[in-house]
Amino acid sequence: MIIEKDELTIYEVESLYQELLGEFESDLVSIDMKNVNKIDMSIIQLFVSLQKSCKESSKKFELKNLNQEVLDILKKSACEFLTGGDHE
Amino acid sequence: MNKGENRLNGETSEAQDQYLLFLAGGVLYAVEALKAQEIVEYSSVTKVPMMHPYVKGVTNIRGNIVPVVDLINRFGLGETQIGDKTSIVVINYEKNDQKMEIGMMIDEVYAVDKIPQSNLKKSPEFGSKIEARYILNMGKYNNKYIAILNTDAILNIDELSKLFV
Amino acid sequence: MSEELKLFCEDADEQLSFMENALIEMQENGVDDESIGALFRAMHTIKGTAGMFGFDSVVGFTHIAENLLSEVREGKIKLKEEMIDLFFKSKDHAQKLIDLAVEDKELDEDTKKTDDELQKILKSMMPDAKPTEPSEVIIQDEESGDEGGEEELWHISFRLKPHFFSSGMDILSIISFFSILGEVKHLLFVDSDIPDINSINPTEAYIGYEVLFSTDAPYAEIEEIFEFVIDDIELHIFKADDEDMLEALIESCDDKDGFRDRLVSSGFENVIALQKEPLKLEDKIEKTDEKQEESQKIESQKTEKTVSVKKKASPKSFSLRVDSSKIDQLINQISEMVIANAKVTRRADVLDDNELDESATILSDMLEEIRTGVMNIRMVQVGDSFNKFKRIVHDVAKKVDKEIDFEIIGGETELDKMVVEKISDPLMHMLRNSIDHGIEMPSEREALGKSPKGHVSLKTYPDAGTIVIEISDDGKGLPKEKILEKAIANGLINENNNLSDKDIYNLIFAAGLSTAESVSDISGRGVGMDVVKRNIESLRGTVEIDSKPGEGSLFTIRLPLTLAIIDGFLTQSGDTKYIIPLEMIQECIELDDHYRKEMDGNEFINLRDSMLPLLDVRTYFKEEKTQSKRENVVVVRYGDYKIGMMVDELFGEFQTVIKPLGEVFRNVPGISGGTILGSGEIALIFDIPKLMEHKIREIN
Repeated sequence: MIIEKDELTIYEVESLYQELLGEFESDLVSIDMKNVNKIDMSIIQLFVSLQKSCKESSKKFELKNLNQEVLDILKKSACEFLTGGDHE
Repeated sequence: MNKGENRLNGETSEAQDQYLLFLAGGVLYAVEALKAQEIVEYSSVTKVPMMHPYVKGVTNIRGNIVPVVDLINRFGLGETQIGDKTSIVVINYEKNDQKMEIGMMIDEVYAVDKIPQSNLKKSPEFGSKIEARYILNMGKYNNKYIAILNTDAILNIDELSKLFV
Repeated sequence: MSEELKLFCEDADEQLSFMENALIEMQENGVDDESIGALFRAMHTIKGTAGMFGFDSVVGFTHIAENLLSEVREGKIKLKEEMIDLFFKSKDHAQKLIDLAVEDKELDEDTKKTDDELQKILKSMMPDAKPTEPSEVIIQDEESGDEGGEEELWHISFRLKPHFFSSGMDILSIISFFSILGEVKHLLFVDSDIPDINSINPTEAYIGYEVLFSTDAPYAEIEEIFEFVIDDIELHIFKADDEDMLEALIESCDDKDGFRDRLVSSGFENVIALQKEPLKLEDKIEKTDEKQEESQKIESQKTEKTVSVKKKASPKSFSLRVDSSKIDQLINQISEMVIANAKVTRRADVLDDNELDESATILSDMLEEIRTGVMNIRMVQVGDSFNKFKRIVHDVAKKVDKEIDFEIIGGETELDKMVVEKISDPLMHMLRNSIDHGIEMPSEREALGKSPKGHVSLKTYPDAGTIVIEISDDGKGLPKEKILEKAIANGLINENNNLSDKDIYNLIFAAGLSTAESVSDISGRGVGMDVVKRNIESLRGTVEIDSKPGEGSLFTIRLPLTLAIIDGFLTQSGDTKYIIPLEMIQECIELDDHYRKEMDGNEFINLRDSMLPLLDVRTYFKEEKTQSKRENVVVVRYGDYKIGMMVDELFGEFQTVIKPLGEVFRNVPGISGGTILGSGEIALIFDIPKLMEHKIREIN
């Protein structure tokens, strides 16, 4: 799925959650972040949950096309492991 | 449409039609129930100097200092005789965003009852014992017309606050 | 405005005033390390807290100012006089940036220009004047200096409480703040509590962090990073080598081994060290795994230890910010208790029950103590707030080319914070007036044989239960003739008046009376002194002026210590009970035949060889006078005046909460409010200054 929003924060987290639940139905959970310039901790937490759940049910998880701003946020929050596909 | 109805728009018609009826100087009057905050028994009122006699003074209502107006005296019809049933009707008075509570001293509470819109008519220009501006409407209650009081005019702060010396 | 933002504003205001005070101190007494330190810390704190709110413009600017201050602090650059001015400007600019950021506004053109200019100057003063580097690097530089505390390794562990996200705070800003205060060695994102995607509530927080952090900052400063989120997280801060704490932390996890492994694999050297060395501890853990009930016991021991360690780690006393309405509420409640207790006392009297009376007395003493204690929370030293006037005086003097020697006396006097805040504007206006109109030009002064430097002082002291603030100057004094002329022209007074000099001077408090020859941008717009007077009166205070031609003017402001409660003396006159503020009462005397004869129709009595003007309360209120058997005179003093209040009865001391009487009674003179007595009755509180003013006018 491609995220259309420019910013993902606590205000978007509930609608994103609904979309992710749908996405989780398929075997390859792939999230295209090319449009996203900002995320906050609630979003990171949700991605981590998704990544974990994918691993448990042996699905592939990828967070792709992250732009520099988002990468910086992940680095700052010690959550770079989200970019590495499956949770270690 | 008169002013009272306008203000009450948005309330249920049920509440709009409710009135507090009471006796003052032996005459039955009514005020919109929504305007009356509460009714308390008359207890000690402290006189404040230099006020018009119809401003009886101040009383303590649950820790708040509330001014008390003698309704009959305000109408120029004598003075309320204090008895066992003498009460104070606390009215919510609003002026320019300022909200305050003012007590009206009356003989006794009669009832809280409904006077339907259809039973209201404009106040008569003359023939009433009290000034027309104090009357919002006349309402038919038990086949008699009683005055529904205009508390905004009766409790007009600018008039009440004038010194009387 | 959100709670957090409000806190931020308050904190920023405080820090800005610290800066101001430090700068003023240096301007007056030369550069000293303490002030430089204070300046640095304030700039640093503003940067930090602004960072947490993502106020980039504030962070960007304060960062550069802080860098320069850091160099100064380390002695790499000398702080020269010109730089004090620069930092004054920086402080003002920071204020501006903060205001804009809080209002969520973009920088306007002017501010942007100032920002660029100031940044350029600040940067150019750096020793090597190289482009600024990220804050981490600079802080490390600072740490490598010999000054400051020892670098220490801390372990910080925090978990977000479920409601965290709704607090609106950004945890990333807090993480960024670490690198301002020191160096983050390791940062571990704790995700073990995050539920799977099907059971997560996305708006709740399940996460936390483990941080290994190196800094020379003390515990308190580390804790301050979390100041704005302290209620929204579980926080543990301890020395990295504190094995007990570390063990307790690991023990508190559901998956102890997993947690330990993750800390180890993330490189937390303190955890690695822990694994290698203390075999004993590991033994213990293995054993407890076997025996569940024992593990319970140990855990509780650990918790105890955690508590004691934490206590040790924070030896500093902290100040607490409390919404003043909470204090007001407390005072109101205490006041109601005082009233209720007065009822008990009265009842004990009626019943003649000594034991009950004694208990009520003890209770009343305790209530008094609590009340005083709570009132003290509101009390602040005036100096903290008044110091800002130094700057204003300095600026105004510069603007009008005058030299001023400004003195603040009695800064340690304590006054209700609200009163201090509200009196600030009037004082500022009066000070400006003194400088602008009072003090002469240096050349003029010299010609008059005065020192070219004008002297203005702001003196505060307690007097008879009130606080007096005096503003005096040694300027030319008020132009009596001009005031008189103008007052007559304005129809304030008529031509054949018998006003005393003092009365004439006090006319400047009348609306629309400004005598300034030119309308400068400092004062003299004709608004002012009347507003000043109104502001002071709204605080139940009074203001007076005295002046001597060629010698100067003296403004005397009298303020109550607090606005909420007064100790009063209950009296009755006619049908009404009245309270006279106790602090103004000098004595009570019975008006016996001796005095009456002496009066002989006059409204004076001779009290120990001085004339005491009498004010009959009933006459004053134009009430009928019925000769009562006894009449009493309560002698009250306010300022320089004394009068005797004639009342019918005296009841004694009474502590009262002042309540407003309301709009209906706004025109009644001489009454400042009402209060509810123990019996539920209402008594009116006399406005003694007003009554006195009336009496004095009558006599004259």
